[in-house]
Amino acid sequence: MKALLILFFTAIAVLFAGLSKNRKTLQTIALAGSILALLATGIDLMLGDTTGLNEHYATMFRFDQYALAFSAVVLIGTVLILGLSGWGFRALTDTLGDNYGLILFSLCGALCMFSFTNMVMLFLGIEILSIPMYVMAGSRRDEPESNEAALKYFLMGAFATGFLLFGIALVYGATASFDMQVIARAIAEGKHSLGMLHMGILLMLVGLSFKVSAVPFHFWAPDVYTGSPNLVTAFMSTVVKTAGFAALYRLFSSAFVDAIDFWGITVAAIAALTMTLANVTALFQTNFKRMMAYSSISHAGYLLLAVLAIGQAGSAGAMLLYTLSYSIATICAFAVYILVAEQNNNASLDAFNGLSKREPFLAAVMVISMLSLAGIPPTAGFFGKYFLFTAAFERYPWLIGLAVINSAISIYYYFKVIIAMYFVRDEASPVVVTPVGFKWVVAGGLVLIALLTLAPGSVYGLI
Amino acid sequence: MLEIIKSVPIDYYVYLSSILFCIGVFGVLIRRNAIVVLMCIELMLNAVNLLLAAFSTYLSDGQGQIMVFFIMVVAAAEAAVGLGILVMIYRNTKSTDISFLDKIRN
Repeated sequence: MKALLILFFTAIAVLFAGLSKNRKTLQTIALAGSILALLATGIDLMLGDTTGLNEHYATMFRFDQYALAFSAVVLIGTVLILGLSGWGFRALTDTLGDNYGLILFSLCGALCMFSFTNMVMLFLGIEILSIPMYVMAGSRRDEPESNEAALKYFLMGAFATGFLLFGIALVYGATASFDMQVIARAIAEGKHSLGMLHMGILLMLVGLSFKVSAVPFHFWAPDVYTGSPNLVTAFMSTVVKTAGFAALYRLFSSAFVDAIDFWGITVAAIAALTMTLANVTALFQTNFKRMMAYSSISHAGYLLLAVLAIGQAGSAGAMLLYTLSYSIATICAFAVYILVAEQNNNASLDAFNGLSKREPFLAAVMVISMLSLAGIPPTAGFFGKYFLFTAAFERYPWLIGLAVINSAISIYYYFKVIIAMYFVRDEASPVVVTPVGFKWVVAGGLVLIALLTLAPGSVYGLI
Repeated sequence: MLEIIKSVPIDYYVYLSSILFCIGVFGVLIRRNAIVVLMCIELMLNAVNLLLAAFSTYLSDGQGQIMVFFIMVVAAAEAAVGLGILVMIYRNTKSTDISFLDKIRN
């Protein structure tokens, strides 16, 4: 709750400070606010004292260990992205303050999605997260690609909200409550109309699948990710994705856990489709951002395994470790991409040709990020995958087999980037000037990946 | 008033809302004009509102009607952002037809 309040007031402060149009001031305020929120969350997480928080908010929120841990993940991601924003947002002039404000407001929504105990709060959290994102996707007003991304994201997001709400209404009709504990009790006692409840659960699953871009509701993601400004894409594919999954897991593990026989097989089918289709499509991409979009869809497939493993020990911890390592690796990869692509005006994979000669540090960062995303041991991504697969193995062994095959396929397209950097000779190797902020962020990201590699258990064991 | 509402079985409200919702869904999928698509999304949300109000009456529980207000507020915010995006696109392309939106893929 402290983090939520800090972020909210920082966002308002940034909106007012936007009048000054001073880039340094705006970035500093936004960064200070999110670092403060991260510290507050970290202290609460370490103290582990969350008793009695429930009563104050009419059973709408509960900032338990789960909510705090995921808040920390998105706050780490945001701090890294805000660190990149000095250069990343250089094209924005009079809307800069609004952009920082929108990032922080959408983060408030993410925090609501981690801590809700009532479906009303789930809905509000998703909307508070999404509506600023629609605006940010279109923040480059003169670029047709950015416009298109904003409209597609908005239409698909609003469409998904409709499904989610119809699902919520049907579940309410079946169980007579929005409160997740009451719903869980009604399902356990069998006091409900079965058809309406099942339809409601399915529609909520459809709505949330849109939000986390799981196949067959993923079709908007590649276009939106490609068309949005680079830094916004990084935010979407890390913070928004983490928020979507944490909300999905929280909803299904606390409200619908007793109906797992009904929705389990559906989620398993979605996971299988998502992994396979996304990985196979990613093989053929030549645009880096489009490839990363399909990569992020495929990671959605792996993360659905955590939802399938609800009830098994360690499934939430595995998801926490996975989202953290995925977020950091993706942001580091995007940091390098933003530098290389924007300075050479080339968004395709060729932009990386021969990067290792001129900028060995950036190339090394990219290698570590790609290895971590592919899940090569001993990187952080490997431990995330390992814990996730073991958690889901007992219930769906065939799905884990498929997931392992898919991980092997994904190595191919992640290595395309590494091969371009190290083994493709290019006389005109890319020109890259590294701003100071980038070096700090990337170094911070590398330290975090190293820490996760050395001690994955400390994150895994948090919840 | 409550008696009048309850004189129609709850199933009929569910059918009506489902039909309205499906009209909205098909509208979103079929229509090519972005403003009409936006209206169809509003239709979907209003189908949900109707359903929630009906359930709320039948269950004699106020929560459903509170939720309706939240949905209305969020729908208004969403429409404001959506129309803003649409105005931005209209300025650049002089059209509200969404089939022109294929620049990213090419």
